[in-house]
Amino acid sequence: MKIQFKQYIKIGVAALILIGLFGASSCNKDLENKLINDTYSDTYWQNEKDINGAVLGTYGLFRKAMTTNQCFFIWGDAPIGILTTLEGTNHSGVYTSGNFALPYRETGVHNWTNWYRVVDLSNLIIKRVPELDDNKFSSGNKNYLLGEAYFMRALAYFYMSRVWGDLPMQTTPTETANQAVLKGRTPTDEILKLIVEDAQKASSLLTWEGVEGNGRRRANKAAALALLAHTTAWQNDYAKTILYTDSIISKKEIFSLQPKGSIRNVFKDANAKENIFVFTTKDSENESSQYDGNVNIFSGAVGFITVSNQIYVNMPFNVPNYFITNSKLDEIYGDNSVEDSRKLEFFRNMTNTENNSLMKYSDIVYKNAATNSDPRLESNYVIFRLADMILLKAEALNALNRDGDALIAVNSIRTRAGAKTMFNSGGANLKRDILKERQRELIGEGHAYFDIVRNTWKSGNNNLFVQLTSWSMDAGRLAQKGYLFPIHNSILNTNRLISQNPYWMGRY
Amino acid sequence: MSCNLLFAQVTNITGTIKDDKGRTLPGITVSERGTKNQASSGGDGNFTIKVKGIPTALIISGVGYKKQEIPVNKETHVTINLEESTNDLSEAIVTGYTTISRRKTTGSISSITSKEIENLPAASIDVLLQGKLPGVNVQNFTGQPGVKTSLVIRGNTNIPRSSGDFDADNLSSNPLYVLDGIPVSDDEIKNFNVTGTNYLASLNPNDIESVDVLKDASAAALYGARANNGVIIIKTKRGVLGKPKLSLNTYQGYVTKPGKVETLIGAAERRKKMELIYKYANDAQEQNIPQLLTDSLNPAFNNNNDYQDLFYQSGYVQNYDLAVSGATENVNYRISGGMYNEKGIVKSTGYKRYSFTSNVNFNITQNLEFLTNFKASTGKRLEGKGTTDFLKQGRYRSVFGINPISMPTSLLGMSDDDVNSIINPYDYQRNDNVNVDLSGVGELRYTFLKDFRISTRSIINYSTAKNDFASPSIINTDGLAYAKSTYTQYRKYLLTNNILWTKTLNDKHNITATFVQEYETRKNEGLYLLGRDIPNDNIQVIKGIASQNLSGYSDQSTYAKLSFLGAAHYDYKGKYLFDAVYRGDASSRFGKNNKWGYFPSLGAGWILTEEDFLSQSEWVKELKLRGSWGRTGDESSIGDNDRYNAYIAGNGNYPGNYGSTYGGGTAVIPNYAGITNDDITWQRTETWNAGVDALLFNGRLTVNVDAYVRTTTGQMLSVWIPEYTGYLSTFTNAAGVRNSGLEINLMGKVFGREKALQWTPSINFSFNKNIVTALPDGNRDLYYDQAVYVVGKPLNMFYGYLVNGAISTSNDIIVNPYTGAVGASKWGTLQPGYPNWVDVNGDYKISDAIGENDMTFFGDPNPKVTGGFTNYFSYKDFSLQILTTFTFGRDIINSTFAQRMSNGFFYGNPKDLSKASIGNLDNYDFWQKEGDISRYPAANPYMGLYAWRAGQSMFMEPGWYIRIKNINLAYRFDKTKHAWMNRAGINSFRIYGTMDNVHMFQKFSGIDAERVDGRGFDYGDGYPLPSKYTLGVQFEF
Repeated sequence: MKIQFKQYIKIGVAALILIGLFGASSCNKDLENKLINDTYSDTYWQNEKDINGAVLGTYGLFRKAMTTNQCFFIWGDAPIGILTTLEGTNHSGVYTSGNFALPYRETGVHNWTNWYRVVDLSNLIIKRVPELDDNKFSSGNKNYLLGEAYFMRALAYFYMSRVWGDLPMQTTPTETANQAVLKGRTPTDEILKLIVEDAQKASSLLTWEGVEGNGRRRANKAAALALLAHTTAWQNDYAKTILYTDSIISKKEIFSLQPKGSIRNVFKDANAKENIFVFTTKDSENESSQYDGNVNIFSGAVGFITVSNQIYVNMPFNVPNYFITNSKLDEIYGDNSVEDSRKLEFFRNMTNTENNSLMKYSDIVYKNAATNSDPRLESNYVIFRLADMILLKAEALNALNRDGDALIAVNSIRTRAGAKTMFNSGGANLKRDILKERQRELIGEGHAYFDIVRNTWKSGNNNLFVQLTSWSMDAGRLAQKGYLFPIHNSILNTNRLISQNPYWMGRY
Repeated sequence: MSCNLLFAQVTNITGTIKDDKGRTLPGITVSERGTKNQASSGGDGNFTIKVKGIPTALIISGVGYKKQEIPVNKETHVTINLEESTNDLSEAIVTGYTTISRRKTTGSISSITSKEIENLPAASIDVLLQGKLPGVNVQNFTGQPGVKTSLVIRGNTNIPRSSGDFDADNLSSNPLYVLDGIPVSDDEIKNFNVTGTNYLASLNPNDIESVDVLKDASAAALYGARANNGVIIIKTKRGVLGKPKLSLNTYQGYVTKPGKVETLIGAAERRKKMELIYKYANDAQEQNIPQLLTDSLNPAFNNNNDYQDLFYQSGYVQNYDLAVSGATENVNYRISGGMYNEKGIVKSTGYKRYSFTSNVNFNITQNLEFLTNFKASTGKRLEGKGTTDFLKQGRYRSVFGINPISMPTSLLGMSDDDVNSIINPYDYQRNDNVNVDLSGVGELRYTFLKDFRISTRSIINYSTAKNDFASPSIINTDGLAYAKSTYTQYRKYLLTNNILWTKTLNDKHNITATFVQEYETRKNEGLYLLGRDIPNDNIQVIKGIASQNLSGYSDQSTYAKLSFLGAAHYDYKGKYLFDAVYRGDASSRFGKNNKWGYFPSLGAGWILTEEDFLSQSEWVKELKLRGSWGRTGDESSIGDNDRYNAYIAGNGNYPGNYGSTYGGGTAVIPNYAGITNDDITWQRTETWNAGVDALLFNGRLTVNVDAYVRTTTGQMLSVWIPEYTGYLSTFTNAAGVRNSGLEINLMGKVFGREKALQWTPSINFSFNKNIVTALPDGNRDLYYDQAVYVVGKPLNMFYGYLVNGAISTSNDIIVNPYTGAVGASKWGTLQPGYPNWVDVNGDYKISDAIGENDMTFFGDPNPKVTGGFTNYFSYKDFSLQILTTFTFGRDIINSTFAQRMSNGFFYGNPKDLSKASIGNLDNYDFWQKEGDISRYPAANPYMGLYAWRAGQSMFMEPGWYIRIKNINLAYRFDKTKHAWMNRAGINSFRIYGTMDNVHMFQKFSGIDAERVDGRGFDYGDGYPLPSKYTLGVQFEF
């Protein structure tokens, strides 16, 4: 009895000690538990695949930023007033009276958060790539992926800078809340310098091979050069613009203009030889866009608000939200005696109406093929293409008083479309005509309004507004930076160091 | 020493135990003081105990009776009269780590025993605590069987982390529950319980022996990191010494159809609507009366549907318990099984539970004990129609096929199919919510060196919840059949090592010291699957569908906590009491720098009745003063995974596409919804408490008074960060809340102990004041939905327009003295009969635009006083218990009325009125004509300016109520009078009847002032709190 009892003690105490030890040793590991249902900043950045996933993330975020509330279209095309609407003030104030405060489109048009996400993820990649050994990457890819990140950061800043002017400059990633500090806005010129530096780094890290290798929908050397061409033009440093555009135009084995009759192909086929950089929304990759209650008239893909259901059944609108009238079409492309093929390729009339649909974003897949219902849009959004570069070069030549060369460049675009060539224009008139030509060619691609601002914001001369917009901006507004868009109030509310663009103070 | 027993002189002491009315008491434990020597009384009340020598002392104890100690000098037969106790519990409170002597505690602890909660028709214990315990405020915001209710100890401290986390059904802070030593907090199960069934419903209330509530920090600091909002310790019944006993208990009941939201039906509705239209329409408008109202000959527009009749029904409730219990010197056991079944008063709702509980303790040797507890239960909850959402939202309200506050007009014709799809989606749908809960506790205790006890306890807790939903093609508008299957699992392991030292020095200094090491791990897992376009309606699982119609994911999270606890008690002669607790917790939820939180507490007490000057007092039998300070923690406002900066693997979405790729390749992005913060740490509460416990007038009056101040700081809140980081928000320990209050508990015995009629009234009041003390971003006001948080004001104030009745005459319209503008508002010009909105910002214009906003905060949904009043009567073999609960001093919003008026009148379009159902408008004081002073604006179908919008102070009403919660009448058959009981081998036999939710006194004009959500909005579309009538019998063999 006594012996048994002592054994109990021993067993009991031994068990206690064992359990105690076990508990103590395993718990420290558990307290530092790892997430396995998500990847996170400490564990993610391991190899080329991870970096590639993040780079694709920047394109995804860029696509989201561009399409939210159709902002690229609202910024670049709506203010000109070529496309008009019957939908009242929520859609028309922007071109009838230059009222850039767009209700229900605040997230995309006024708030820059989406764009800074592109910047932040690019910053992360720029920080993380150099931390990885070269042998984690297949040959050349380390530089290439880094180059893509520099390109995307520059591209995001370029869009933001054109829309809002001075910007908070964020060149480091934010990985914990403690790294978030209040900062004010850096002057536009400094931002443009950063864009040029980044784009130059990108152009040296990216390759020409990347153009076709990546199907023209990821960054490549030409895309970086195109961005440099646009940025230098925005700086009105046109000599450089000519250099950058020429370096692309001269790569004839990679880039050529689409033939007349298939110009619209740049929206259908990302690999079209004319494309430099597009972003895709292919249905075969489950990336096409659907129109439903959540993505309403204010945020549906541009195709949904520009293509009538008389052309493609089951599209949401009979009269598209934005359309172009017969008379406006004639005004832009001239009378019918000489056919400009772009008029037929880019626009289509509905039966017996004054309203024409813009057909650039009309590549449709019907999910329910039997009933032709549930249409999805899968058109490319073209960021840079060769025609844009040629016309930009023409603009630069004109600015440097080389009107003859400029005319040759413009006419190469006109000839391609089957339009009459331009002869006797020069100086300021030629500048106007080049911008008009850009409208004919690039309408709906988010350029037209910025084309005017690019040629105006430094000079302060509002002539081009008078000539090219339906409402015209007065010199006073121009002086108050009224060419910029207003910044969303939530941004001003949370950061006292950021103030509204001067013209919009009290107006937005 | 243990061996001496074998050789000692053995004496038999015999005795009889009776209650204070002279009835013999079976099953009472008799133990010899200072030993483990025990016996129990038999059916005739007699006992025999062998003692090793005389003189000695016997301790007599039994559940429901006051413990007695009697000295035995030489008698060998003693007769003992035990006094029944109505509130006083067994002396010890087992907290899970230590055993506290009630007499010597310095903390604030409230308790109830099984007697007060037994056989009341409710699925879970939380519902039954209403009105019973001072400082514990239970508000039943839903009568849905098996659903969690709100239980708040000493005031709400919860501010939701962001407006996205604001859930009006879950706004109050939750206590930590400790079920037989297993700590369970709401936040650890909430996100991993796809059925939405109340975790506490897994436990049969009839298995519970006692509930102890640790309210102040001196008591709750034992549970340190999670004790911020109090701790509720629930202990299940154990066996008592004696022969095996079999007890059988059942009750059956009827649940009445609830009160309907008042609605005009058919002709009455048409008459009222036409009256309003003719009263207010101008000539042009009279030409254009909605067809629905004018075309009374059209069979489609001439009906009298009472939609509420379609889905309300009478229900029933039934309960069966079977238990075997007993104990010998070596084994103590109680094993029980139960079944509870409640058919809800809304069609296709209800709850059914099977439960099993086992408590078996082994005394292996005199020094070695092994204690086990095992529980298993499964519950199935029906909740009406289901949804395809993976995670349930608004789950308390979505039981109806047609929402009672947004019903269409009764005039509409309905086909049989329409009726079917409204009343009984469950006939077509499969919507099963099944929970399985298993838990096991094993504890080995070893006593050595006389004063030391070492123990190790291991706990396993395993719960699963499964929701299966199937909806056939015939009832879905897109003509497709859907099926959903979601499953969550919760697994917890807890190891506690405990060393306890108890010592008395010189018969004066009593010392108890405990050191505990505890380690807890938990893993939550989930599986979510949805199938679209199931090929055949007979198939109610996910099967036979194309791969693109299948969606789903699985999920998991882990948690670990390491704790050390030291607790010491010292008292001098049982007079001066001191307690100290120090606990440290490290949680995996926090980052490296802040893993550890430390929670100290100190308490002191003085038992005045131990002093010479009071010890002889006749009218003060007991008097204790106590005070405590301590700090407790909370981590419920941070999730298991919040400290990681989780990325979204696969996010390429843009408007119109929810895809995960760019260019066909998976796109990975950080989760820009929020970024983590390395500095986050525990939420802390500091509590000061002072209390008095007294037993006065020869034990006829018990008084407990507690006053407290609880300051909670570091509540996690979402704060903005600059958007150029890509992120919008992070969270930080930013908010603070203070609750202060007073609790009074009085219990009396009206008649002397010798009287046949006994009346024991007890009443408790809790006064609580709650204010916000700190908010992030420089104390900026927080607006979530229609709830507001403002520093210096109570939590969850209302937000909206102040309305001062209706504008009586044109002289009462606001005029801008500078411009002369009359009746300016953002929406148009004010006229008599419109709401008399208060121009809060004094700009002579009513508006909600930035800079001219007249919306402001008002009211207070937090009750100032809550409590309960229990009357217990006994006369011979009858007993009667009446519980009344009350809540005073709060405001509630009659959102049923507001929503219905808004449905019909918001746009000033009579078409809306024709389509909406209306209540009996004659009951409300509407403006009728120029000069009327009225509470509400005109019920004018043409009135514009959105006059009947929600969020106006005119919908605020007094929220006080007094509810006769339940009446319980029982008759106990006395074995001495009923010889047949002996013949049938029945030890005791009781029959009882209960009425639950008997009557409500309120000023509120809606149905039920208790049924409001966390922000004080009345719940007209919620599940009614029904009345239940039950009859039951209880046998013991």
